[in-house]
Amino acid sequence: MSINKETLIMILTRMWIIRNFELKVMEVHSAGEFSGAAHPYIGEEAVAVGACAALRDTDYIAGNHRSHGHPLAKGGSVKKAMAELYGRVDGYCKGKGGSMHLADFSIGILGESGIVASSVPVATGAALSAKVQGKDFVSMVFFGDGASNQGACHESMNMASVWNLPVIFLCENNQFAVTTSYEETVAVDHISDRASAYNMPGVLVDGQDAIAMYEATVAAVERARSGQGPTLIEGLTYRYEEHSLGLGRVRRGEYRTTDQIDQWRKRDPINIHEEYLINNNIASREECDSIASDSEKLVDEAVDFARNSPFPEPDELFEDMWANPIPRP
Amino acid sequence: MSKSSIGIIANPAAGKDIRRLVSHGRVISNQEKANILRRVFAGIISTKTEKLVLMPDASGLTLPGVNDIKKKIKTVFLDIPPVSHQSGTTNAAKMMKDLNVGCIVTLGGDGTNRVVAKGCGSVPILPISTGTNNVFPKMTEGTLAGIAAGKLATGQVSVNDSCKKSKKINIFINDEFVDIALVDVAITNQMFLGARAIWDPTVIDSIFLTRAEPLSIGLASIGAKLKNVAIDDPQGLFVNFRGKPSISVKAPLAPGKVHKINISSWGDMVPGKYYSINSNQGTIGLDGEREIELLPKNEIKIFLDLDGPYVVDVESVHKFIVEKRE
Repeated sequence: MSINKETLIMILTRMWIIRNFELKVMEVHSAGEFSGAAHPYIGEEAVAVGACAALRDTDYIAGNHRSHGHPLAKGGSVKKAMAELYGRVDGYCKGKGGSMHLADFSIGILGESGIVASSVPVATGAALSAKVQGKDFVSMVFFGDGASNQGACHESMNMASVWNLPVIFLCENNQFAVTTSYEETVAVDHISDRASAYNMPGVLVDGQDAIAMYEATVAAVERARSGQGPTLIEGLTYRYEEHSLGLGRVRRGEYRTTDQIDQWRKRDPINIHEEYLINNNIASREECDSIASDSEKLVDEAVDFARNSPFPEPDELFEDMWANPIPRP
Repeated sequence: MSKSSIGIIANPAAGKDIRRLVSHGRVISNQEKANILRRVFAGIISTKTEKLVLMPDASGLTLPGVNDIKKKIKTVFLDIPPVSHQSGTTNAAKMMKDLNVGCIVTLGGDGTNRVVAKGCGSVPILPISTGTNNVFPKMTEGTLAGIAAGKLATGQVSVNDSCKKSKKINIFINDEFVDIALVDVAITNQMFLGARAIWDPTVIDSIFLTRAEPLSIGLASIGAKLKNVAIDDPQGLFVNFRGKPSISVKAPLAPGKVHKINISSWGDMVPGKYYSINSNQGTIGLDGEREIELLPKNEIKIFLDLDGPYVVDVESVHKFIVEKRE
């Protein structure tokens, strides 16, 4: 397998977009510009970006509550994503969804969800639709180590294997379900070990290395697209920040050490990728810095865009729903 | 520490890489690895070995077995944090060497044993395969392996009667030693370390082998189709793939993957000679995994060293015990 320069640069660009998007979200959220929960993806960028680089626009993804990185990795609009967080009409869901509901069907983003593991059957259903329609798209779902214990996750993996569906189950094992260590709550050492119980391949991948994620996902996509069925990929990663913004009143004990966080920061996914690009003469230090600063500007523009977008009108509240619960007079 | 002690190093991450996806690499769960260790421990206890020295690992693979036997044998964990990376394993092997263990039983693949070999010095390794493409470790029943380890550690068999001296390939970057391989070095044109495993023959420019035996799988299987080179033969092999093919062979590069491979040239790799790597873009694979990036600024040389680790031959130990009785 080879990776062209365009893809390698795109991977760095999208990781920087996510990093700067999340840093800005933390800044404006703490300044009170919008409210509600938001879950920073900082530290985990290589998982979504490496994986999504292996997908086509016509392939589907579904995600979870840590919900900004996945759509941005798939090529989603930074402006629409930011406007959605601000609750404005120019946002992805017209400002009525918020942080955990970024969807863009035109490029295969089925949406995120705050209900843990609920996107796993959604992506499995998308894969079923590919099979029923005889199409060659695949679907991929991002879920965490906590979600891997949910019944919906296990039922979906079993069904996907029984029906040989083109779905990639991508567990982002950031090692903590809020504050609970996966080592204390997952009965196997690696979540990828569970694949054998569902008769599908399971692979453990360095989630800090975007190229490793890309390479594994390319193989899984090829397998899915050629009718060989599902794969479980576990990207071992780490979130640098707390579980969520907006949960400051929730009392937590010490659940991880500063030393552990520092150790993982030393394996920063952006640093690893930049070092690779520079060492192999694919990009210079100046080009990498330029990508970083361009993404910062892009995010700043997105914030301006969001701030200038109006809030939805109250009477739009029940529009765009599958069923309107309050019949109009 | 008494000579009748045995080191235990088990790698929980062995056998979980991309080859489960791109080939039909076997899956050995960590539960099974823990069960293998239980069997190893049972075998060791039957030999009157006095002590086990264990490397703590992040998955606690040794703990179920230790609970079985803690009233029957002294067990000591190395005073280090749970090991989760290569350098930690090498350090654990060094500590076991310094404690004069009689041998080190390893659970893992070629890669695991490579990092153990970097630290164990002249302490024999008894390698049990739980990896993917394994040449160095063998598929050995744990109980029999444990008995063999115990017989060696308690002096009932000698190193000469039970072990073979293996080889290694030393890798130098800009004349500075950086790493070793126990079985194979692959020069690939793959530009990234990525998922690390090597399974695609189209990316390989050349290989250097310490051994090539009929039952080898992986890169060593290519050499095995050309010439038999045993673990203790005083030479290795090199094989080049670029250029006009002079011969082709069919070889199992990964479990369930047999490839037709065109070879442009091959020959003996002799000890004491430095082989320069002419490529300056790509990666170097050590024992089946991409480990080193070939960068334009670096000059790479490799060297066959006959002074590799001692490897316990389990079958020889059990034969020796019977013959001694007769």
